[in-house]
Order: sequence, then structure tokens, then C-alpha cells
Amino acid sequence: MEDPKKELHDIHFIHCALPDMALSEADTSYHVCGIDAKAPIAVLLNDKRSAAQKSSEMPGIIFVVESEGSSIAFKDGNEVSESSRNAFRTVKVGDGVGAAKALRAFENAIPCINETDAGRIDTYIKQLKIAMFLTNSRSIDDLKNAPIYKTNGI
Amino acid sequence: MPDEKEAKATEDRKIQHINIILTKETQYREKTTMLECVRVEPHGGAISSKEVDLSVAILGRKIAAPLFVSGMTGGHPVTFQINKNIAEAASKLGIPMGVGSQRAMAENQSLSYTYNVKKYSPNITLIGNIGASKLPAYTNEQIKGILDYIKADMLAIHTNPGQESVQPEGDLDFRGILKRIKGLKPDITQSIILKEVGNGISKEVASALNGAVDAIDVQGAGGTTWIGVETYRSKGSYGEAFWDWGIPTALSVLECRSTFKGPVFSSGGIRSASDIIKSIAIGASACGIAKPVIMAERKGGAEGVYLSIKGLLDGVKDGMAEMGFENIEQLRNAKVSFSEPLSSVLKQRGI
Repeated sequence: MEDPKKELHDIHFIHCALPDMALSEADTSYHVCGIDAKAPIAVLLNDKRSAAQKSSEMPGIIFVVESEGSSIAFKDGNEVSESSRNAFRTVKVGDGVGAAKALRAFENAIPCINETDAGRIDTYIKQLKIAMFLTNSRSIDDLKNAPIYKTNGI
Repeated sequence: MPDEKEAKATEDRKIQHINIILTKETQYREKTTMLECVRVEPHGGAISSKEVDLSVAILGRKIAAPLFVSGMTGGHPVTFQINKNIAEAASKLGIPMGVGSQRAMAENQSLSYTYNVKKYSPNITLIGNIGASKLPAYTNEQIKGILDYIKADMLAIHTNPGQESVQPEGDLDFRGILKRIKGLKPDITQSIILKEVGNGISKEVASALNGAVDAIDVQGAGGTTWIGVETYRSKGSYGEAFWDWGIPTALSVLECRSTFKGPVFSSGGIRSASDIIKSIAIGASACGIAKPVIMAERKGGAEGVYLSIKGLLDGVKDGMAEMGFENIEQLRNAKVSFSEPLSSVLKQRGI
């Protein structure tokens, strides 16, 4: 998994001071690898067995294991099909704003958080939702087109 | 209209904000105003500061200097003295001042006196204030009423989606606000200013504001973060991630100047004479300051505010004199250059 923290740090959304929407309209839902996810934020696990178990316990959350250079997602207790391997690029993030930046900056990115942070995934999703509201983005596709600027660290 | 409980919560929130500003670290942590990236070319040889004229006309009113005290407070008994002291000093200096959101007096008329500074400083240019997200809750007649009560000369409508997103009791519906602002204009005699509260205004929003408001006050990133203030009130949760969210003040001024046809004010992290000189040179018509003023007021009352702002304006005069600028118009036409990262960001943004 890549760890492009510096790159994400230097990406800044252009704040929308008058979003023509309500926060509740920010729809974080996302479809990837046959998974109808609550949000494009995945939990990265170390072993396939626990990923399979968690995916059956928490439908709507993307669980991923990195193995032999491939990103493998799990759905309903099973690994998604072979053909779905590497359908996305995992990008490690520290919060929901980082997740929003990763989605905006990298094609086919799925922001990932560590297993130890899995209990806070609802917080990250809420932060992603707020980032969408503050960029006047109703959908993840809108967010991917939101205006940004890049710096070398300001 | 809000019930008694909601009105009390609004009143309490006002004093919580002041206490947090005075006692906690509420500045942006990494982002700056980007004014440090602005270089102003001298107009000519140095002149005497006595030859420098700071006076300027803003929205049809002549003021002594291109500076105003941004609206901060009102709506709690403690805030009455703060506003009264600021008004006394600002009036003496011949510059405008704003009051904080008048929502509290709209909800509870007994708090109206906390905003009514013209009773004591009748000559001040006063800027009233209401929140954009609250506009749908009031009729034009009600808004006119709260402005007329304090004899406001201008109205600042503050938009604060970032702050509201983190505020425990935040208003998270901004649908139709621009249309509502446009609907207000025909019934309000005061000039209307649209201002942020510390996250800045983009060229996209500025463009949409043409014809809807008379001026924009960018209140950009680099000074106090109200997302930070609300993060203290909400005891964590979502706010930390957004602490440095926003458009730096200098960038925001240049964004707005590129598309908005009316005056643009520079505020958000204005702390020095140099900040003011650079802001004017990149096209701001005036600057707003807040935190240094409330700090000075709490330490030294009206006299403290007067001395603090007087010192700042003397610094502006000295700085302009050194670079040979005789007046604000000359400074507004100064040659400027930009260093990184502002230079690159402007290119990315097509400005």
C-alpha cells in the first residue's frame, strides 16, 4: 500500500463558502468490486480470514488485504472474484479529509485506514461527508471534480 | 421563531466563543495568509509619513483609513461593554466597526442593547450582521428591523458552513441561500457585504455574488479558525481534521478580485501594518481585524483598542512613506510580485 502523506498534505480543496446543498445531501455511497459500500474508505487487514469474517459482520464496509502485490477486497465473508483484484489503488489516510483528498487526487483510489482505526470508521465517513459539503459535492463523483490547488507545503 | 431554550443557548454560545478566543490556541496551525508571498514594489523615494493620506471611501462612506473592526460579538451582557469600548475607539479613529451576529437580539429583544453602540458613539460607521444560514428564518422586515434598531450603515451577512459543520448545534442546510440574499437586497437600504468567518471565498462563489451583494469580505485562512473554536466546544470528534481548511487570505482576495465587480475586503489573519499594505496593494479596498482588537479591549478597554489600532495605522503610514506612496489609491495601483507557493497556486487557479 502506498503512503503518499506528503502528497496529500500539499493538496488543498477550494472551500465553497455558499454550498447550495444540505450536509445530509452529501451521498458517500460507492460501488466497487461488487460491494455497495457506505463510503469509499476501506479497512486494511493483515489476513484473509479475519477480513472474510469482518466483511460478513459489517456489510457496507470495504475490507481489504494486500497479498503478493494485489489488493483483495472481501464481500459477505468471501474474497471478491479474481478479476476484481487491483481494481483500485489503496492509499493510506489519517482522517476523512485525507480520504477526500485521496479520492480527488488519485485515479481509482480507495482510501484505507488501519485495522486499529476500524472502530472510528464512522467518524472518517462523517468527515468525508463534511468535506463533500464544504466543496458543494453531492456525490463522490462530484468530489472527484471539486476544485483544488497544490503547494509544496504552506 | 426560536423558543426560549434556543435563545438562551445562542446567548451562552456568544460568551463561550469569547472565552475560547481569549484562552485557547485558535490560530491556523499550518496554513498562513500567504501575504508573506506578496512583494510590493516601491512607488518612489521615501517621503515623510506626514504626507501620507490614509483616508478612503468605502461603499459611499468616507473613512479615515482602509481598516475596520470585524464584527465579533454581541448578544450577551458581557459583550455590551466590549462592543461599546470598540465603538468608542473606532469612532475616535474614524474607522467602521461591525457587531457580531444579531441573531441573539432577533431571538431575545432584551439583548438588543448589547449591539446598540451608536447610542454612545453616534458618529461611527456601523456594520450590522446576520448569518446566511439563518436568513430563511427571518422576513426582510425583521432583518430591516434589527438593522434599523442599531442604526446600521451596512449589513454583513456571514456565511460559515465550515463552522456550522463542526458546531454541536450547527445549521447544516445552505440550500437556496444565494437566492435568499438576492431577495433581501431590494428591501434593505444598507450596503450588503458577504463575508466568510475564516475559510475564505473562492472566485466561483465571488462570481455568483455579482449583483447579489455590494462587497465581499473574504475572511480567509491564516488567522483565527472558527472550526478550531467549535472543535473546543464540541470536545473533539470531527473538527481536528478541518483545523486548517480554507483559502488563504491573500489567495482569496486575488480570487475574488478576479471576478467580483465590487469592493473586496481583506481579513483573516491581518496582524501587522505590512499585512494591510500588502492587502491593499493586491486590490483589497480595506482590511478587517478582529482578534488583536478583542485582546486589546480585554486588556485595556477603549483606550487599549485605540492605542492598538493607532499603532497599526501609524505603521501603515510609515511603511507607505518609506515606499513613497502618498495615498491609498497609489498603493492600490502598486506593482506587486508573488513568490512561491502563491505564484504557482495563482497559475493553477487561472488567475
